[in-house]
Amino acid sequence: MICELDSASRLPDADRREATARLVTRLFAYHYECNSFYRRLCEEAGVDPRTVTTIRGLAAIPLLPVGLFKQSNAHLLLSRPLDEVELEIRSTGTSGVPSVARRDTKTTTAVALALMAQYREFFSVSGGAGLFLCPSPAENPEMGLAKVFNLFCGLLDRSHYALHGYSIREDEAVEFLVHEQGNRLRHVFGPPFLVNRLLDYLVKSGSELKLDEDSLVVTLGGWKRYTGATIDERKFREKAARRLGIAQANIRDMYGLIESDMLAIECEHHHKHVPPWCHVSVRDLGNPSREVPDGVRGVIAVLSGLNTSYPAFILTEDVGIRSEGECECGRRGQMVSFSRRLKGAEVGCCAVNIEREIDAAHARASRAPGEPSPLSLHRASPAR
Amino acid sequence: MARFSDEIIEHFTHPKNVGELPEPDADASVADPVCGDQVHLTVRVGDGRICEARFLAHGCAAALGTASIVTAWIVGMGPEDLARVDEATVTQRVGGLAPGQSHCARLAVEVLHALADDLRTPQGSE
Repeated sequence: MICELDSASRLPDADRREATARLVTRLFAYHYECNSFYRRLCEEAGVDPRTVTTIRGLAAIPLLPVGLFKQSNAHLLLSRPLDEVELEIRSTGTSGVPSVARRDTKTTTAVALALMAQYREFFSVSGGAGLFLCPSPAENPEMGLAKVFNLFCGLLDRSHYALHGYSIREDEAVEFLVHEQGNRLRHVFGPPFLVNRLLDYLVKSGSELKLDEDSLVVTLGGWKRYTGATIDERKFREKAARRLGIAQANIRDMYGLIESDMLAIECEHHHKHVPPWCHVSVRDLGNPSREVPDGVRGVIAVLSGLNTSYPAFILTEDVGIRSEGECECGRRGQMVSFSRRLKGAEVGCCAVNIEREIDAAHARASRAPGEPSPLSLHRASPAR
Repeated sequence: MARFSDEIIEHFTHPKNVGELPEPDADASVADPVCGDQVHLTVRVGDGRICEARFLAHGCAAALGTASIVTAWIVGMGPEDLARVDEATVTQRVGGLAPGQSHCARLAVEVLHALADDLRTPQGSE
C-alpha cells in the first residue's frame, strides 16, 4: 500500500475501507495481546479484538488520550521492550513538557517509508533546492517537526536551514533563494508563522523575490501562535502566492502529530488527505467515546495501521471535521480539516515552542549588557 | 553498544521512587533547553544525609531511567557528596549512555548540584 500510494488513494471506497480496517484491526489484536496496560483498558471498555472486524467497528477501539505520552510512566504504553525502541521523537508545546513517541525498528521503517511515499505522491519532488525555516535535526535531533521536514532533504539536491539556535536569518534565507535562482527549482518548508516572517521581511526590506512556476511552499505546525493569535490560512496563501509569485495550488499545509504516525497532506485543492494506513474518527466534544458523523465538528481521533511499538489509537486534543469521498484531485478516502485546539489543551506543538524560543532569543539579544534575564533556561518549573 | 544499558532498561520499565515527597527538606529542578527533558527531585534528610528521594521526569527513556537510578543512588549522600558527582560517574552508574544520550548525565549532574546548593541553604533564608 505504501509503495503504491497513488493507486491505493484511488481505490473504490469498499476496497479501501476493507484494506484500512484490516491493517488497524490486525494491530488492535496485536496490542491487545502484547500490552497489558492497553488490554486492561479494553477489558474495562468491554471491547475484544474478535468483535472488531470492519471499518465501522473501528469506532469501538479504545483510544489513548494524547496526554499520556507526556507522563512519567509512559513505559506503560509500550507493547515492545525498550531495547527494541530505535527512535524517540518528541513534540513540546507551551507547557514545556515533552510528549515522546517511542518507535521500534519496524515502526520507524514503516513511518519513514510512508512519509517518503506521501511526499512523492503529493509533491513529486525528486530534486531542487529546499529552504528550511525550521530547526535542523542537527540542532534538535528528536524534534518531530524537524524530523518530518528533514525527510525532504533526501529528495532534494540541496538544502539550507535558515534557523540557527532559535535565531531566524531572513537575509540568509533570501540570499539562498536568490543564489539558487536559475540553478535549481526552489522550495520553501517551515511552520506557517516562520514562512509568514519571511514574507513580512520581503515586504519590509523591499526585496523582490519570485520563485519558480513549480516551486512549493509546504507548511506544518499549526496556525495558532503561542501568543494566542491565529494566522488566517486563506490570507496566508494569498499573501505567499503574491509575494513569491507562485500559484496558491502550490502552497500546501500538512497536519499530523508525532504520536499518531499520521501526516495528512493537502492536495492542490487544499483538502488534507488521510493516508489509507490510518483511520480518522471524529468524537463528540462532550463524550469522546461517541463517534460523530462526517461533517460534524468534534475531537479528532487517529488510528494507525503502522505502529507496533504502542497502540497508536490516539485521541488528540484537536477539534476538526472529517469527510469522505472523492476529492477534485482524484483521490478517494478520508479527509480531515483542523479547526482549533480543544478548550483547556495547551497551545500547539513544536512549532509554537519554536516561535516562543525565537522571541525569547531575540529579547535576550536585544537586552542591554548586564541586564538580568527574565528567563532561566536551566531552572525549569517543577516537572509536574 | 546497545542503545540502552540494562540498568536504564530496568529503571525505565520498573521505575523506583516516582513522585514527589510532601514537604521535602530540599528539592531541585532542571530542564534541558534543547531537547526539553525535565527532572525534578525531592529529598528528605536525616543526620545531614539523604534518607529518601523521589523524582518526576519527562523526556527520553534514558533521562527517565537515569532519574530513577539517581534516586536510589543518592540515599546516604550529603551535600558535599552530591556536589562532587560528575558526568563520568553518572554515566558509569547508569551502565553507559549511547551517543545522543550524554545530556542525561549532564542533566543528572545539574540537578544533583542544584540539590546540594538547596541543602546547603539555611532554611528560611530564601
